[in-house]
Amino acid sequence: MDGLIHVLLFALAAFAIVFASATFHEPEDGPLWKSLPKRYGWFCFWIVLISVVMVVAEHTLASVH
Amino acid sequence: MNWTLPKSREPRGHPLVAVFLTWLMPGAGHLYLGLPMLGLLGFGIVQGVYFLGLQLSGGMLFEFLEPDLRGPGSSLLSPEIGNLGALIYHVKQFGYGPGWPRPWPPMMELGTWLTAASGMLNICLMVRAHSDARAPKEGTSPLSGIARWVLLAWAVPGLGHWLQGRKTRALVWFGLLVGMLVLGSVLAEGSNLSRERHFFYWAGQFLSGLPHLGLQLVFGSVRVTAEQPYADAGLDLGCLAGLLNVLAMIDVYTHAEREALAADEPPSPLAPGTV
Repeated sequence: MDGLIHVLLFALAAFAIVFASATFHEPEDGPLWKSLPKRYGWFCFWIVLISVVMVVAEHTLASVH
Repeated sequence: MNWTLPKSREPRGHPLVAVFLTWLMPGAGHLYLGLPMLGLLGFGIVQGVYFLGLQLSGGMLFEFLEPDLRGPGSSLLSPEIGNLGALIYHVKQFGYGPGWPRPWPPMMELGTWLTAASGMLNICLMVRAHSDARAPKEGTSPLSGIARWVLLAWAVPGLGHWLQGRKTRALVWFGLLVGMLVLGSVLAEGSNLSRERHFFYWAGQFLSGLPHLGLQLVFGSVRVTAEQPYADAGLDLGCLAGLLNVLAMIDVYTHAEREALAADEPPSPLAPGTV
């Protein structure tokens, strides 16, 4: 449950960031809404990728045995 | 060939000089631009709000900071930085207090909000000074009114977009930013709204304007009596809402500037009907 809440909070914060960014690229409403799903998908993809790299780096380089 | 503009079409002054002078002392930029009444009005409002806040808070704002957070740069991360002259006076006059804990004045929260609001008001005055500096010496600038959009966009997220007729965007901005602020406050049980507890994060949340003030006055003094598992998440969401509102303010300003300049442009000699 705790993990799910964190994922939902991330999804909300990510959407807000992506929407804010998209408003600068698309002055017109139509293209703005159309571009949102793709932008959101790419944003989440890169965040997940960076998170995985960080977890792997922490596991292999910073773990204490 | 003479390429110089006629005197009446020359700009009033250098925009960056006007902005810098206003940052140092509200109204000074307008005095430099030859607009003394506007300068005096700006000075009275911005400094009046700051010094009312100073009175209500007893100048104790920086006593909120824990000793290990007190340093030469601490005050630079507060919204009061928008009104540099008053901030310097505040730090020089009151600093971090006598060095021992004292009870806060009854209107401490409102007082410290007002000093922060003065910084925001002066930023709007700086935007106005920048527009006025670009106006011709004789006549008015189509840009002179756009500073108000920045103020409206700060006061209520989405309000600037709404009044510009961009109602769908306005509703999304409002829903997202105020929603995140409220959700953050629920998750952190109001502890995120206390400037005493989260001095720097409070500065971020303050940027979401009046909804933040309303929440702070109602829930900002709630006592923490148990563990708050989502306090950090709530703090992050609230702060993100405020920081994203800066982007909303820039978006509103850019749109207003584009519209004003387009309306002021003379018709092209090649436009249909002009040849």
